[in-house]
Amino acid sequence: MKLDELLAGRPNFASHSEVIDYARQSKNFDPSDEDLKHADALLIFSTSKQHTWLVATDKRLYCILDDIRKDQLHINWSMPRRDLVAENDVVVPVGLRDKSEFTGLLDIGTAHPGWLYTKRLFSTKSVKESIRHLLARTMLGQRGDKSL
Amino acid sequence: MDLFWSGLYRMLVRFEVIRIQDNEFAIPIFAVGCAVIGVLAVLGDLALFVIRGESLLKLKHGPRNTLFFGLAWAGGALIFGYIGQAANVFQVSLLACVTVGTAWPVVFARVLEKAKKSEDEQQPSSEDKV
Repeated sequence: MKLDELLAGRPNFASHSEVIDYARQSKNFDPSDEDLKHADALLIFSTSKQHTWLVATDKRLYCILDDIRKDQLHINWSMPRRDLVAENDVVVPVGLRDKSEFTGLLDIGTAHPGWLYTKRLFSTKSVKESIRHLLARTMLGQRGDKSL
Repeated sequence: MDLFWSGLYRMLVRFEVIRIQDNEFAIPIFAVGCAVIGVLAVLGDLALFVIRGESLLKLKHGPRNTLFFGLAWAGGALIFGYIGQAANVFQVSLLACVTVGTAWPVVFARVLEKAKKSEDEQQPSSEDKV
């Protein structure tokens, strides 16, 4: 166990880059066509034991769970680009529901409803907006917020 | 420093509530008060152990053990009293001091347990080949 893990009393969570790299383990990842160089990750849920990330490449969106009680990360689901963006716009519907004072539920498209998100992570920019920006950056190559 | 001692005396002897607006030493007064109550709790437990052979604090008393328990219990009460006061959990009163001084291991274990239990949990799912 590393010193920082010993002081924290628990193993460390995977870093931003480790989570992105883990997308390679997906059964839907296509190394011949998919590039992780321009991939990005968004932390949507954080507790003392779990982190949930959305990792977007130019071809897919992955939902990855990091549970410190488990030996490795886990890919919950992934969605192809065609269900997320069309032409020059993000088209996937993102719905929000309330769950508790600290957490909400996120519906990403119709196929992936009820994913937890932590409200305090999105105090400056809404979770909906953050996901749209993530997809626009990685799949449409858009920079900044004005295009959305 | 007179303010500290007079505040400690007022809280422990005259059972007064010390307010941070009136006494800048309110937090250390509370922490030291918790430690004093912690020592008294271990001494009271020792008396019970001598008379009835049982320990409410579940301590194994002995000549060296009791001294060690007294110091450790008081030290824990001082630290948790300070943290609890800094986090604005307690009022600077004798009642709060008694709670922390006698039951800090139980109180803080329960607070931590409650904090952990109240966390939501993301359930994993299996990725489909799409």
